[in-house]
Amino acid sequence: MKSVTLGQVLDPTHTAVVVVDVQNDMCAEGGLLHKLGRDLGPFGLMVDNVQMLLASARKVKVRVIYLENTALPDYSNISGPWMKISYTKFKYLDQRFHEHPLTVDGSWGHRTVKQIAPQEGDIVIKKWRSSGFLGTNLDQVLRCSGIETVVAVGTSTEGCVYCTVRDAQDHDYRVVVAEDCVTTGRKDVHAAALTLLQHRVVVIPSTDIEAAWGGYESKRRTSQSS
Amino acid sequence: MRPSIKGTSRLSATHLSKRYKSAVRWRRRFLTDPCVFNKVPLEIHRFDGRPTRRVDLLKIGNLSSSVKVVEGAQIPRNSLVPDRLPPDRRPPKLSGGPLMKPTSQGTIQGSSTCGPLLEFRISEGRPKLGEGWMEEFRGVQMLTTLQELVDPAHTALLIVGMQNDTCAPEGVLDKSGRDLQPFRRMIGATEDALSGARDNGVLVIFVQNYCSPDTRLGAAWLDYVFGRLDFLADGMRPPFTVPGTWGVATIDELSPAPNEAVVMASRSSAFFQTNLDQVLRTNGIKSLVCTGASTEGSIDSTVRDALLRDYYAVILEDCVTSDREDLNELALALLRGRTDVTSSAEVTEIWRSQSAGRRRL
Repeated sequence: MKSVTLGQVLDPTHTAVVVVDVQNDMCAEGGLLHKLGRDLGPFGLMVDNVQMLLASARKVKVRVIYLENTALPDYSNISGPWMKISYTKFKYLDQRFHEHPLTVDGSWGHRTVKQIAPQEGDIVIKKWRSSGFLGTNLDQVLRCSGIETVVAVGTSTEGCVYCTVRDAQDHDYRVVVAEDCVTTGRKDVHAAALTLLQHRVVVIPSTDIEAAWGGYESKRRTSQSS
Repeated sequence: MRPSIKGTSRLSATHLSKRYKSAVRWRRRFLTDPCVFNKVPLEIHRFDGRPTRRVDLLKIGNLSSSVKVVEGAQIPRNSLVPDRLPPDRRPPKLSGGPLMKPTSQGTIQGSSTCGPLLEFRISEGRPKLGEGWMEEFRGVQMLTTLQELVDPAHTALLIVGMQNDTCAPEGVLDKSGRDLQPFRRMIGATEDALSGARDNGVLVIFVQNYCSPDTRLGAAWLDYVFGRLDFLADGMRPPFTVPGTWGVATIDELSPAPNEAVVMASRSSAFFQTNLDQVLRTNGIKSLVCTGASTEGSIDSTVRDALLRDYYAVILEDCVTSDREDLNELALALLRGRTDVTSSAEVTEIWRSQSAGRRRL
């Protein structure tokens, strides 16, 4: 069986960056989780790294797809099991005491943070559960664009990123996780999730990804100048 | 005869049939008569029991002045018949058809958004397994205690993996050098859980992972599968769990009974492109009790997919295993942050006591 190199995997013609849940409610000052006490330090670093990665992605024409976690304001898309997770498990979010859920459709908290706001040509997909593939047209969009590799960035490492990465692998995409572009509130949980992901997919620093794309950029420049 | 209402002179048109005209007259009278209007259900309940916005109904008829619509007020909870509550918790059906009574004040109250619940039990802390109660929040029923979660009436036991080629002596992976000890260790507890389920009316479903010997499963997927089996010699890709062979069958100690469903899964997740979701929904299953191998692979994927698809999941920590103990621990630690992890003894005890209770009745 022929083995593939990282450069081949990250070929810009068949790669897409999927930005998972970098939204105001999760990562920005004034968002719901910030108001509930979340420390935004790691999230600020993550957003800076994502910004740099996206800049180098756009230079080589890699497609960028944003996933935005969405909830309907009257809880009509939230089931018992789904509410139970936030009620009994998540540290900050106790749905009983809030008028509206996290990332309500159409609110400021739902939008991607301004620093990495979607540009023209980017695709924005609303997602309703942790995995970006469940109930969305993400798979359709990726297949029709000829995407074979997904570069995953965003939050949270053990939740939405983990589920989306796992689902992408089930759907036969090669997945590369940029380890400094994913984060979550707790460092130990983040480390545990990255360890498990290393046994499934490729987990590398974003500088390696940018270096691979840099190789393609110089190839493109040489072919244009010649 | 009531004077005709402005804007409805079409009834004088002669080409309209008598039957049509009398139907229109009846409808108009029904909607405009104040005493009749109070008996009309002012809330159209959707199929799942949740009411639509009250203001839409203003368009369908003329409201007489005795009826007042109050925006932003609470709908009295007692008068609704939500479908999501179990039968013994639903208020008694009102006779005569209308779905709800007018309020005691005689005014019709409406709200355009859901406000805070009227009846709500405040708890000091979060309920742990074994404490707590069935919660209801905004019409959504939440099961929080272990007794509720694994009730045999709506629970299925999932046995994932545990197949001859992956963990039985003389299987392909055993011959390729896999250490079977982690798998043999948990068979006893899993057998107990399986017999507990069979004795107490819990639905049992087997999930068999298969791997086809060529690239039809996808090069990326096969790269992951064989990359993960790090005991294999470099470049070795022996076909294992090939459909139709002895290797794909579940091991003898846990073999499926003829009437038990077997789901063939090509990926880690037992829900991916299988009919497992259909089997669960048609049997009214709300909770999955998960056992089998591997914790960080099939169990992790299946449990996460179950939670995304609105099932509850309970993992039996002494009935899941992996050939890497460290990954087993990490996966369980992360899954504890999403769902409930408990022991097989606790769950089988609940099954025994609950079905014994039912038999007594």
